[in-house]
Amino acid sequence: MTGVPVIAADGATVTLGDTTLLAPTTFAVRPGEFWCVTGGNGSGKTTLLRAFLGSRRLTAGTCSVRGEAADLAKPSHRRSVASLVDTIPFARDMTLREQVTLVAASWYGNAPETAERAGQLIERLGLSSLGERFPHQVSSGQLQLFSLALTLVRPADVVLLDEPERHLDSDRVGLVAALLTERAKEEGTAFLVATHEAALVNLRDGRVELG
Amino acid sequence: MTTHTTAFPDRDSGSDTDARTRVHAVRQRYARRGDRATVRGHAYPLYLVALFGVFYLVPMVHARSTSPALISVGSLTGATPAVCALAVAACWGAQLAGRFWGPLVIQPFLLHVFMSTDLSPARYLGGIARRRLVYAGTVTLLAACAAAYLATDLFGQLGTALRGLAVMAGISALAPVAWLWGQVRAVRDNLVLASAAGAVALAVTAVSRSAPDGAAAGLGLWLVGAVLATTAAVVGRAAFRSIRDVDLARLARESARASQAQAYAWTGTLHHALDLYRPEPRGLTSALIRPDGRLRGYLAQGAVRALRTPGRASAAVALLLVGGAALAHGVAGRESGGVASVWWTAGAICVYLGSGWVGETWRGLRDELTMAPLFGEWWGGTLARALAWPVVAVTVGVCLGGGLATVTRWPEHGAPPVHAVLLVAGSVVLVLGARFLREMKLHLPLELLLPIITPLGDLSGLRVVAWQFDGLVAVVIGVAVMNAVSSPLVATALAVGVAACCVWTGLRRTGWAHRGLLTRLRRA
Repeated sequence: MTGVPVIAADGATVTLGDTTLLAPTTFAVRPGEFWCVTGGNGSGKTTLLRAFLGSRRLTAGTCSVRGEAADLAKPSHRRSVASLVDTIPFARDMTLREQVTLVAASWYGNAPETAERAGQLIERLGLSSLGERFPHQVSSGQLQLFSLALTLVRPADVVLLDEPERHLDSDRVGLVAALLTERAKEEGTAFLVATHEAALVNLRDGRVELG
Repeated sequence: MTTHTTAFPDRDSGSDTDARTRVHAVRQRYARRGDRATVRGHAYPLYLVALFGVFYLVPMVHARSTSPALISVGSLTGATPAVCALAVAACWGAQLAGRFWGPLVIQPFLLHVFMSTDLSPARYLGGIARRRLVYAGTVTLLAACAAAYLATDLFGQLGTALRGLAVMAGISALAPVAWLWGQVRAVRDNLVLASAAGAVALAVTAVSRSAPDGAAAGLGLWLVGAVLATTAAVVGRAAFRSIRDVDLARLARESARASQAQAYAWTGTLHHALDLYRPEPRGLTSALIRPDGRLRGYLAQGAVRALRTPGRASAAVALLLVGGAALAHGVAGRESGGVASVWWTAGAICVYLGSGWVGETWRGLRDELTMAPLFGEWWGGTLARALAWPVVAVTVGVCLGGGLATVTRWPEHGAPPVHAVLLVAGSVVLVLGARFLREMKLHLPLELLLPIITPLGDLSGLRVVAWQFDGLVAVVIGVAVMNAVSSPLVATALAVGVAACCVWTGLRRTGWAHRGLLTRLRRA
């Protein structure tokens, strides 16, 4: 395995007063690698993902994406990083297919790729029959798959996911795990996934154990 | 692994054409979403505007054209300081509004889509900002002209009308860009603009006063208009340039909050929408408990809790002081008529706003009255626990403000002090009652949604609006009633009566009137 790390943490630390939200953490993820972040509740998994996303400031150390400090204001950073860390604000008046297509259109414009990529991903995640429904008409697990579709339909060098297994049954966890690893191997996308799910941890190329 | 082919679009995403295409594609698809506005949806606001115009604006304009103006601007000699103060207030108000709900706030999902791309924020927010600023400027200009026409004789002569129009155009240009500035720039930059606006206003006032009397009348307002236009151009240019560096994470939070607030407002619970804009407490985390483990007294508790939101507490203090001073001024000039009643009403409204921002204990009282019993029986009972702080804070604030106004000899008309004290006390009681009424509000009563059929259509909306602003309505009506009664003693008794009605209605809202109210309140 070669290549420059896509994301790297070097002594990344977050404290709030006397409380340590993220203990000093150091690791690097290369293109095409699938890394998991594990640890108990409150150990700093989401904080670490937010630091890479650029929405949480570190109190010490660095978090870099393609060699540059994570900063949501930089277009290059937003181009490289896709994330499902915080809840996505769905449009309640658009169907699932429309919303996934809209995200694709924000990258590919009105090119045929837009509908093609959206359609493929919806089918791959088993949402084809739900494509014409509105968000309030699907279950929590289906909403989670929909959130993943919104995140994965766009191109990215690195994808940050916070507990992607949330609300999913074991079959769907397998489906998602297969999709993520396939994208890592075929497109070279790096994944950093905070999870408690053994099925995802077993697929990892590397692991960050917190707490 | 050596081959990495992330499927980014082939085109150069940084190019103007590509970015424009992508933004257009998203907008086009978003515009075709399920419940986009229909023709009937657009027609309804037009219907409301027509109703407002035909049954309120036209009669008002007619009445104004056939009667003398409330305020005579005369030769405009002394108008420059007042106009400068108005311009500064508009600038500060717009900046403050921008911090809470700026022109870049859009639907959260649309913003999420855009901010997940590498597109520059200026590309997808610039057009929206330009459009909204034009709307805001137009509305400000129309509102200012309408208010000036209805309240003053500014448009009576061509000369004064032109100068007044120049100033209003300047304010209408500055306020929208200050609104954008308030949202896109950091707090420090906002303080700089606010200070600069104040300093420039003082300088313009000084310059206009130093000119000879005749020239001051002619030049002062033209100078204000020119300064406003120049400032708007400079600030607007800088604000628009800052859009590309706007804090997207903050904008996402603001948009999410605004969307939620809009949903509450549309469903008739504006008070829930305003709750979303309450500041988060910080600091003084160990101040409520003494070293020996005992809780501090009710007043100290209220003060500490208020200080945990220092910005809001400061605003409350300022409003109570200003409100107290305005109340004293209005009450003292009551018998001479004129604008004294405006000061009185404005003062009561300031005190009403300040009484709500002075602490969280009102909410504690509502929760205690409406939720399952949580607190044990304790000294003073529910009311003492919840009301001690706001009542004392409001009383002290108004006394200080009124005292300040008296010391500086602002109440020029010299009503007997006993009468003035009585009327101020009555106003404070009225305001506290109205605040109690507003804070005990829960969900929108379903009966308010029943139609009120009239030849003009369903007017149940008016009733809902009155319910939304019931505290304010009670204050305005109460002050008007007090003002209409000649005897101060009777006026004060009336204010106390209105306050008692407000308290009774507020208690009924919580359901306590039906459940042995007095017994429950008496527990100590």
